[in-house]
Amino acid sequence: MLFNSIDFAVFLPIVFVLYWFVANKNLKLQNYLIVLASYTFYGWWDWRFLSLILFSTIIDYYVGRRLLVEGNVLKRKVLLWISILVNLGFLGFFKYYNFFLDNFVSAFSFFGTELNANSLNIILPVGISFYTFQTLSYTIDVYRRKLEPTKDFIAFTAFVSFFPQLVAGPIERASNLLPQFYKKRTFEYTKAVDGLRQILWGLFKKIVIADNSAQLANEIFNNSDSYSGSTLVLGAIFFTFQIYGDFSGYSDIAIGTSRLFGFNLKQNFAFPYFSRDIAEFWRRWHISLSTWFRDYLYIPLGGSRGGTWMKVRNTFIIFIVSGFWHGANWTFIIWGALNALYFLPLLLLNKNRTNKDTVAEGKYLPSFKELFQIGITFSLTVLAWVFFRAENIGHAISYLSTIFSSSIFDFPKFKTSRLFTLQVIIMIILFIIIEWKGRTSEYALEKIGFRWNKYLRLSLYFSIVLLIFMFLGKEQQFIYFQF
Amino acid sequence: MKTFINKTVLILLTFSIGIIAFVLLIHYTIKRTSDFNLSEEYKYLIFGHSHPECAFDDDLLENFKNLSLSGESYFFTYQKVKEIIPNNNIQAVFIEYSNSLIDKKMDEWIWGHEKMNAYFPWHSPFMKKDDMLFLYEKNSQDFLNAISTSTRNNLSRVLSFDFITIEPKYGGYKKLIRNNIEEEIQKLNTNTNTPKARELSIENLNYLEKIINYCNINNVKVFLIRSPQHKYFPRENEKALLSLKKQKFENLDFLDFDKFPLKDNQFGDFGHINYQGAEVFSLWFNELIQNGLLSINKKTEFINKEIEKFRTYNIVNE
Repeated sequence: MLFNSIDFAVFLPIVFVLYWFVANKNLKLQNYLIVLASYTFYGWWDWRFLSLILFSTIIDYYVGRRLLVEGNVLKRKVLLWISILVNLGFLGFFKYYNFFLDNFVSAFSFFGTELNANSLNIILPVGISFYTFQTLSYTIDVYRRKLEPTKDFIAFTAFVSFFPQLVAGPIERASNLLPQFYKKRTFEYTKAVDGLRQILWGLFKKIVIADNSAQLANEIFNNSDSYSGSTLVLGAIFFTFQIYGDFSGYSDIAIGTSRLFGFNLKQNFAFPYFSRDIAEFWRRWHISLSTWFRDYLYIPLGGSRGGTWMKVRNTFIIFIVSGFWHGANWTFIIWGALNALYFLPLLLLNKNRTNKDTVAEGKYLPSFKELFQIGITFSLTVLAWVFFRAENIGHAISYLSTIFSSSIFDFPKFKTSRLFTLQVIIMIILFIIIEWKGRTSEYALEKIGFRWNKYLRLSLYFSIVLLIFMFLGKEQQFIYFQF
Repeated sequence: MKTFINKTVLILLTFSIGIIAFVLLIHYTIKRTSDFNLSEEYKYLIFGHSHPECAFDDDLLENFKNLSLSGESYFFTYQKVKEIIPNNNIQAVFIEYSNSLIDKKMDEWIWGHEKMNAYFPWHSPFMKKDDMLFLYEKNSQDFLNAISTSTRNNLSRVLSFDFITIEPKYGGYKKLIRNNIEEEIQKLNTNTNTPKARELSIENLNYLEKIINYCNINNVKVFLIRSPQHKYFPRENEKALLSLKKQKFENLDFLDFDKFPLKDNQFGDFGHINYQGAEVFSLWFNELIQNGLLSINKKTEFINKEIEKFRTYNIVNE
């Protein structure tokens, strides 16, 4: 079920009413309802893959319980590895099997040995990378004795499958989300209103910015051979806004929906395109994944302790693995490696923690220096997104070659109507202004208009709803569903 | 909780009413400011899709205005006819009646996502309720998208004072430069699929009838025409085309230029003639009109005779 679908528009109020009017007096019933709603939400797409979630849930619940009582170090390790192997096994099979097979065959073929292996026609279960990482974090934290394993199977099932963030995050830590299932939720008016506001902003990002930028980005990327360098730059910029609008829009809707049910999820995007360097960008982009890799991969590998070589190695590992997490394609690996290269100078000069505050805090506009830094960081990000969006490495290289050719000075031209392009550009500018204005909040719309007259504030929300209506296109899937 | 639900429902209702009012206001503004007046010199109008769009160079035709538009089905031509006829002193309209316009694919050209989003915004402010309902019943989701697109595009027009006028976006002669005939013939040689009989678009034909009825009521004469097509253009439904003409449009004259003898380099592709072909054909057609084609009785025989004369003249001069 897509957040931007009619199905969800019907589903959400039904679950909401049942949750607060029927199940409100009983915590167990509230959790049962969440499980039922979550499984319906997921099964709407393909009910067969519900078994995978259920299996992961049972394994991790059982491993958690055993870890509580098991004192033997070796046995504890075995239990941990069972959980890791089962979860990563599913992920590996469904997501990476064909990739590894194809590359294995190509490698042998390179050395003159022809292998006869056929790829499988595997459907990738939606959101597998997200819930796998979420449930893994639980087992690892229990193993590290940072978290008490749960005794409540239904609460745990609800935690793994919680429908607002099941298919595209934020990847919640058990330490934050699971305890919320132990406590009875009571309805809070301001929290629910805030949730609705965040959903509204998420829908604006997805429907107005992402889906419309996608039409332009797709036209340019799919026909990149016939366009000039300047047009390709524009295509990469449209994709930059598409992916941000799409993914952070999803996160906003997920967080907002959770608030409607009395839950607090962590912020997943913190205005990353206003970052002054790449390190800051990665502290602000897909925060739940970056911190996951930091805590469960980077730090166990030694983190930034040890010598320079160790730091460099660990940085490359974390970025490359993060790239590979996005998809079984070399383009994602190169995208990760490129970001590691961007990050490296900051790390080596020990400047990767310089910009920890919000840019131009308390000011209307950034200084020239900040603007320049934002511009450079944004440009580097745009270039890296070319690899992320390209069909394959060859496509990305030819795309970038055209960008860095003399045709970059041509006036950009492409097939989509001028009127539509202009409308999208105006929307992107409006979007940047609102994001800039709200950059100190958890999401841009959170505090905008709070001091305004009630009717003026409602007019602002109405304008956003009107823009969503006017830019409504064909229902588009969220990009991160494929990860 | 109850306050929250009540307020949410109230806001949703208010916003919905606000959106409807906004849509109506934009459409009303467009309706009030649009201008469908043509210069008085135009007595004859040509309607259809890309075939007549590329075939009739109206700069070479006296008193003619070509309003054909690429990808336009009879449904949208009907809307256009209703907007233009009452505002102008038109004597006759020429409507393309050809193999592709009766084909089942026209259904997609009426209510498919792409075409509906492209053409609906131009006509929505003037469209009657029945036609709106027709689109809604055929494809409700894309119809709602088309309403959005329509509001957005018409708002842009209002804000930029670029109101709907016939010139230059409402259709017109398109100068086609390309010549892909050799490539198309090569493709044809490699394609081993046998052509299958195609279904007809009943809905599109219904709208052709509506156009004809509307013109009759407004005392505008209707001629069906077929623009020149290459000999290799697929005509699987030729029989159906001709028998439908007999059954449904018996009283109308059919000016069939399908086999007008043009050279390969005068075609853009099998379905469209390029600017070279358009020049030759339009000059010839103009002469035909000046020689009284519209007033004589046996038009088909006259056309065939003239085509034959043109062929002979060309052979002699080559």
